[in-house]
Amino acid sequence: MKESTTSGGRSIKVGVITDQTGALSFCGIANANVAKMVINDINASGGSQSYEARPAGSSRCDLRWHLQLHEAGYQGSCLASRSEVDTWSARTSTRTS
Amino acid sequence: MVQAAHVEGLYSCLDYYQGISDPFSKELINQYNKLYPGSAKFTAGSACSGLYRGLRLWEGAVKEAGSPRQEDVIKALDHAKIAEGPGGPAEMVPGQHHVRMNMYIAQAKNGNFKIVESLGVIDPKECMQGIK
Repeated sequence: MKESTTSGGRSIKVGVITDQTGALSFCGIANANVAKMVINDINASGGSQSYEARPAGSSRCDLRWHLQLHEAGYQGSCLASRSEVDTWSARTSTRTS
Repeated sequence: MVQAAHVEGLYSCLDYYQGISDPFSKELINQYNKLYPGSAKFTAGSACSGLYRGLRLWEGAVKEAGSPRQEDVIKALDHAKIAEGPGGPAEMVPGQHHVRMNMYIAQAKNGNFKIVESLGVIDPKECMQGIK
């Protein structure tokens, strides 16, 4: 996604993983559109407490995606704590073993 | 994509359909269609309604936390709510990571889903069977 300009030097990177090409692009392109629309609306109304949201790299607030990103070396933020990720990971390994 | 004729008459149950008539949902679909005309439509089946809701809930959590700090946002997100969204308001159910929101039953008619029943607010009733 294209990054917007920053506000006062402070910004929050917001990312989503979507299919921009291929068979599922009809979903992924719409998802990216929604993310840009909401982020623009947030910033137009003043941002989140003086922070500006910016479309950025890859992240998704979902434990499974976070695990995959983490295993791939991703060090960004996720709306899951380390303990939640560990718990989910343990459950998954129990179910699949 | 499945052709319309192949799903004619089938029922579906989701959190949002383009035919929902509350003012905010109508305004939202009009805004999206104006910004992004084309084949990538705003639908629940493509996760657009969930993504919209998720970003707005996150926005509320960041505002309550007063910071983008991960642990603070997680705590605020646990009880975040939005007064308006696709299909109506929504709120996180504390401790569950799930959302309490409106659900609808619709039937495919000539390439569009026609709402046949508004189920109202539905609790997530998280099912832990098979996980513990």
